[in-house]
Amino acid sequence: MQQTNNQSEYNKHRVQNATQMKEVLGKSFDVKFHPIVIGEDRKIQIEFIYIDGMVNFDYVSGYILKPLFQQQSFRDASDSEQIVNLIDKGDIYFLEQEKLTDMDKATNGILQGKLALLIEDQNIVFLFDVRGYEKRPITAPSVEMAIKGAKDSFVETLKVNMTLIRRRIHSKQLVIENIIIGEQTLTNVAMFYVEGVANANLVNQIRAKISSIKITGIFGPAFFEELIVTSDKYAFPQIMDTERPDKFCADIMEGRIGIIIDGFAMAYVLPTLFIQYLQSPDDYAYGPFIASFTRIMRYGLALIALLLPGLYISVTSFNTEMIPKNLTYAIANYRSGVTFPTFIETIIMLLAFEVLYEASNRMPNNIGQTVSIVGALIVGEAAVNAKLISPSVVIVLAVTAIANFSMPDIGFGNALRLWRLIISIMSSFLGYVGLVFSFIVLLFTLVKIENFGVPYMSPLVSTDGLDVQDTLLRPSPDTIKKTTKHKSFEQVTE
Amino acid sequence: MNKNPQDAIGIILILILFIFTLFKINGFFYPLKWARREIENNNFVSDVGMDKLTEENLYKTSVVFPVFNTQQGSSKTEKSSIVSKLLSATGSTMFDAHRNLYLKITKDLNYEHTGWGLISETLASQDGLDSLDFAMRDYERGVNPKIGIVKGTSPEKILSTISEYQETPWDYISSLLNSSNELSISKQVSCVELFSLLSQPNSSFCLPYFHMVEMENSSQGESAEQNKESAQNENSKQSKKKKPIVELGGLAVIKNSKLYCFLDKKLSRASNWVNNGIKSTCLVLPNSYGTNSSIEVLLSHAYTKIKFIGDMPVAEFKIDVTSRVNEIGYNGKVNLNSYIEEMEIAQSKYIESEIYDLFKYIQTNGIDIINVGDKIYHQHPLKWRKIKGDWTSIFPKMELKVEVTSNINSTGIIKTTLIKGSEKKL
Repeated sequence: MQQTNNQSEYNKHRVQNATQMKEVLGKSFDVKFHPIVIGEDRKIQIEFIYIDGMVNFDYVSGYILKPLFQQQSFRDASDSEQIVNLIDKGDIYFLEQEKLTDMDKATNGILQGKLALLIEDQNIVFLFDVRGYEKRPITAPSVEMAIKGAKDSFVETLKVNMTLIRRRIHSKQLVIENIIIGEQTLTNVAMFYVEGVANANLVNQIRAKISSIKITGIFGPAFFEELIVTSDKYAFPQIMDTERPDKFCADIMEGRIGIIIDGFAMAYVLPTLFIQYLQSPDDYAYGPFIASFTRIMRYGLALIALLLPGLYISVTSFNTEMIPKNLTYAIANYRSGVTFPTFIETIIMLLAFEVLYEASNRMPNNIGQTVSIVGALIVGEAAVNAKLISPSVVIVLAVTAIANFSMPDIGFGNALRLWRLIISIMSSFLGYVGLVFSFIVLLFTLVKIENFGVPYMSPLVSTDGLDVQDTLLRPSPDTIKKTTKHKSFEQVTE
Repeated sequence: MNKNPQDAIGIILILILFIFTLFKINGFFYPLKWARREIENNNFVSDVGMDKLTEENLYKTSVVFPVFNTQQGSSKTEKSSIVSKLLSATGSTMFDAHRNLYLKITKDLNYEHTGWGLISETLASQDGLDSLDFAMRDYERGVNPKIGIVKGTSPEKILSTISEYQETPWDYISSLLNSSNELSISKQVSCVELFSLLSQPNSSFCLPYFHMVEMENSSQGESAEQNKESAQNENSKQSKKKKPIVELGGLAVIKNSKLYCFLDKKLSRASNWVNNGIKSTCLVLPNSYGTNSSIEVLLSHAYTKIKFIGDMPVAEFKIDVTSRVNEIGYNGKVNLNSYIEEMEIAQSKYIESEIYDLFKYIQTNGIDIINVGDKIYHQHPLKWRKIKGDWTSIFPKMELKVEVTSNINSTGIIKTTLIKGSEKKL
């Protein structure tokens, strides 16, 4: 009867809170509501709410349940207020706890994997961060591989990623701000910057921009990337992503703002400059001469990846005088009897390359290699023998593809792929005129891009004197100023 | 959505202009020099020959272009070879003759990779180089072949002879010119340079000339074994029949855009001494031991100074020559210091006499191939303005001086001959 009365007098607040939460979360079978009684004569009712699979039961049992049942202070507690005071004083041995009165915030906490504790008579919720879901271990970078240097990469768990950064930068000026975006997904976004190094205006602008994002959820990187850039949509990436913590740290030490989204095994760096896409972590693993040579070669390879098919079309269809005599004879020899005109075979081959690229990306690794072999070797050789394409165009496309794959950033490589197609089409109509015209349009597009007040092509297009250190060449450590602010970031105003 | 209709009209107009430009540049309306020309639809002319048939009063043009023979098969067995093809056609003008070539070909003729333009002696002396007018127009892009004169035969014959060597005439003639640098008896003049020279009034300049000589077939490129076999052969007479060979003759002089004369090898070299055209050469000079020594010229540089005595110009040429002894021609002990001194003096005198011979020849014939007039213009432009009207009468009378400074810097590190027993003989 006593119990019945207790049940009937079930604390109105707790009933209210639990009912509210049940209304919100109760339809999901993995949300567990677990009432228990504690205190003197075990008459104080409390209730745990959590999502099955997202909490670590060892933490719950060892650090939360155990003191509640076994600690004398809790056993002697006569009312719920006393229980609250005891938890406040730290009688539960768990650091990551917070006391909330806002039920919405509490609900969000539960959805993020925290354990909620409701106590009768009290209009408060204790949240314990006992998240213990499965997470991927830290592995070596799969895309941005470096021969020398760190071998760790970001994982999908924000906390782990934050630890990777904190382990590298022990500065008290390093600030990590948390912003939640996604109306349904409530995704945690951490914003990193070094106070005093990063421009405060830039920080405010980026913070405001992230906070202003109104979206149901962040399910893919492009959702965030497209919403964060301030310029119009261009093919060239305007937000640098990296899977390497060392690169991320180097960038934020230059005055950039880093962003890590929970659930993404990568980080973003803002504002991004064009030159960053032609730099590799390996540039800082070798001496300045080797690194500068590699970097210059990379600029050359970017031009090859962009212009070579267009150049080939121009010289074979319009301006044969531009190539040496023997090369002209060789190309004409190989071209004789080929079914399609040069520009059609080049465009077909460019598209075939895109198909192969997509197919090998979608296929599992072991089948992907088969696709490459079948596509490139068997079909390619058969097409050459059948005079559908000439061997020279195969060479041109192969060199272009290799040059494209040597780009350190995939997004940048993709932009080159798109512009390569545009330039090739223009060259097939107008020859060199088309090539030069489309290249000028590309340069115009690049120069026009500005993100958060920072020109994309800076420092190459700086009007305030050339600040070209660490651009085309990689200077030696005594001349390089990696810890100082990037000049173009200083100019950002509100 | 509130777009200004004027913006839309502007965009449409730009698009129309762009599409029009695309069609225009692609040669849709009429062929343009920058219109699309697929590489495989061209016959890339490597060399052109231009001739005049005096009796018929017709112009003849000959072109050589490579023909690609690709034998189809599997990729491993596929063989490709390039064979030169010679075609000729006649017409009442040079351009007409050129157009008549199209009756015999299936692909367009492309002159962008033309290496040599050979002009016959007849055409060059009768019509002069003005017959090249059609090639001077800018309809053909990137045309800049080197120009040569053909002496004693037709360009067609020269081109067909070279084609029989299984070599493109371009490569053969260029190799010939490069080899002739060892003697410095020639020079190369491109089409663009030629047009510039022709545009100058009263111009005289030199072009290389080629002629054909007969050589015995058996000595050409056959192995000793083959020679032995052929000697035993009863038909050895047939194997020793004469074979025509194309040879570089020297320099041909063009005066007022027409062929004026041919210079022999010595005069050709003399013009190169003065015009800084010496790459290397060989001088055979008598020495005090009663033999001939061979001197190899390594460097030569000529400086010209123009002075005026009254209104009469005087041209002083100073030539610094650096050379080395390649053959002393004497096996005994040689006093190197006195020998070098002797040779330096002999070399200077020899070169000076060669150049004075040239001066005499050019002044007699009134051909300023050593560009004295040009030098006066650059060094004394005001005085040149006064005399340029009378230049043709002044040039034969003016004084031309030359002073050669020789420097023999090497005789080799071997002081005495290595020929066994030669010391004893002496």
